Amino acid sequence: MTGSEFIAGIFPYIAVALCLLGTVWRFVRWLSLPPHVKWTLYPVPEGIAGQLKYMLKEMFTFETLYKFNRRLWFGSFSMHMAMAGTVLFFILYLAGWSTIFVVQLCLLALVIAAIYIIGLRIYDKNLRLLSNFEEFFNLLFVAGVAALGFAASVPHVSVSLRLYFLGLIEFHPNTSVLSTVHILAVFLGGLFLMYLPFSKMIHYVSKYFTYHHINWQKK
Amino acid sequence: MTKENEKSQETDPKYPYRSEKLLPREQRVVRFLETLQEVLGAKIYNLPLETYLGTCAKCNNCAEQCQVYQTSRDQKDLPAWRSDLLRKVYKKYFTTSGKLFGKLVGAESLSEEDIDNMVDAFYRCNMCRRCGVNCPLAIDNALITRVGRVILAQLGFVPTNMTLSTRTQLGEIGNTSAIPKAAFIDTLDFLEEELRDETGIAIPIPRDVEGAEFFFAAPVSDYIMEADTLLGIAKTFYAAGASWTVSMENFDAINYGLFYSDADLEKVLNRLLEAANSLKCKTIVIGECGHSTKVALLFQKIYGRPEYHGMKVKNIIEVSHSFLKEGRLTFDPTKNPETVTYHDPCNLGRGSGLYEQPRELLKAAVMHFVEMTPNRQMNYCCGGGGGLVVVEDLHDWRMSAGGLKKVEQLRAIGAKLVCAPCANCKKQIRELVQAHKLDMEVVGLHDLLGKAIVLSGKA
Ligand code: SF4
Ligand code: SF4
Repeated sequence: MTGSEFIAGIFPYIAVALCLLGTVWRFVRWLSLPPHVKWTLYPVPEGIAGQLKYMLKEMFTFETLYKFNRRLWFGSFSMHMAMAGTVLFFILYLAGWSTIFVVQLCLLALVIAAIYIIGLRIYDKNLRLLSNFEEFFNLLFVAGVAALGFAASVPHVSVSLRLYFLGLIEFHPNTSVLSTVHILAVFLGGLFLMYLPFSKMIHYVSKYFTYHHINWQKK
Repeated sequence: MTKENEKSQETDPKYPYRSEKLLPREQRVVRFLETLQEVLGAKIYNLPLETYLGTCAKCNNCAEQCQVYQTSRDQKDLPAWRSDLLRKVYKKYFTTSGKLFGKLVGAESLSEEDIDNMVDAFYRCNMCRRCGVNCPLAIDNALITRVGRVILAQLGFVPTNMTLSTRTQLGEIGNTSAIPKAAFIDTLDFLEEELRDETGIAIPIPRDVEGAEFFFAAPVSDYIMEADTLLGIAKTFYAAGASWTVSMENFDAINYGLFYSDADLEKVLNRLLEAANSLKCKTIVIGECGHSTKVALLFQKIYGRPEYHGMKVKNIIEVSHSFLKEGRLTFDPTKNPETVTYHDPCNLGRGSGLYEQPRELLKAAVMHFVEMTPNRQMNYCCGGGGGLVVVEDLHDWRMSAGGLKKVEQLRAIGAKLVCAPCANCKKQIRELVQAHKLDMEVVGLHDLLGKAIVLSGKA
């Protein structure tokens, strides 16, 4: 097996497995910690419906940032929506319900948003003071994955890309259809997935605990 | 390192009011790390600390909500910068990624200068939690401040006023102001006389009544300095026909442990619970005091002895409000004709969820109620929160960076009276009113209720 065959045929499974396991591990670890000091922040949204409403609104509007930090909101909101859009439309594309063009738009937005935030973190003196290597590295990582993903999706190769991913899902990946740029995109994307749950970007899990278990603790 | 061979210097000349039996400089780093380890070992902070210290996105949204930073514009007042002082150390010594990758993941070794910075920074935060309301990741910098202070206290950096008061409270005298029992009894007698003179009714302040429905404790200074609040509370209980009692063994609700020590918090809290238990009272009612209400509410289950877990804890506002709702109180608002505004004490609002109850009481008892903006969960701290109101070297800071936002709010509303049902807020706002020459007076909630309450027919 060559290096490229490994990256295209085996590595994606390892990456996804590590991403899922890492996420589950973080979740279970935080869930199993002993009772913590009660530190409720009032008002607590009423009932499960109220809490869901708050969470969904925050997830789809980033209202907290919107209210106090509009410049960063613009970048952060765009970046997260582009990220979600990439995943969603890519799945639709694989299912045959969307064109690759929408995915490309999302990827492009992702690159621009990440670079915009990097710029803001350098330009704004407070954000500059607070940001350390990790912040820049994470943003560059996101921009890099998105840029490579975009490069790998240019129309003349996109058909083989779709075949490859469908093969991956059916557990018999056809690695021969991939070009070098595809291999690189798969590799970097896989690394990102593996890194995600172990980085501070784990906030997609931590938020559940900081809101539900701490801020909204009733008893 | 054993306690015996530690030489300590008494105070740091830079911080005479917040240093006591200081560890020599060269021993501080080691002790700091040992204490952080102990804090993590106690487990009760692990979930908040792991999430707060591990995931902050450095978006700086907190700074836009912090009244201190909004006034000072000093980068050292950026909440996330302050929290980073602890975050760096936590990552370096207690996380795998920090040990492996160091600065690349924001982990840094602790230095004596870092500790100096913390002494400054953790005492420029009011622990008001305003910055937590709109943190996208629900991180609470106030809790990080608290943990930072708990650790610093082990090196000897702790407001001397607080430790002195707590020692007195835990000692024979049993209260933070060192009021002897006989003098306290005199005070209560005097208050009862006042009540009789004013109303013509013998309204009691019951003492050591076994099995009373409500066990009442206020910050001890209230009995002396906030007589009107106490009188209002006695009238409220009387008008509602409720049975209540003050304990002669423990009448002081103050618990400064919230601001610097878990061990002291636990002792003071259990003393209070024990006093209520020994009188066979099932509900503890805390007077007009934010921090002690929050301590009793939030820490009862984690630090209170198991036999006290069944007790209910309430703030007097909640109790008076339920009397109002049950139709047990009647007010004549014409007795309070002045315009009144309401200051949400952070520990009663964000810390205990009492937003609407005091407003409903006020609206029933005063003629003109006006609302400051922002209010409720976005209310500005008075600037004395986090116990800073008793730290003497911070007086000028409290009158400027700490309290200016509150002053602006008060000036803009122009009410004659500002109602602040918390002993610390009252003290701080009074000082602000004086320092900034505002034409207003600070009152407690029950001062106003007491004035307007209708007692006729109750005698
Ligand atoms: S608002 Fe929250 S996530 Fe953003 S910098 Fe402050 S503490 Fe960190
Ligand atoms: S707790 Fe209050 S004073 Fe402290 S950083 Fe947050 S907003 Fe500022």
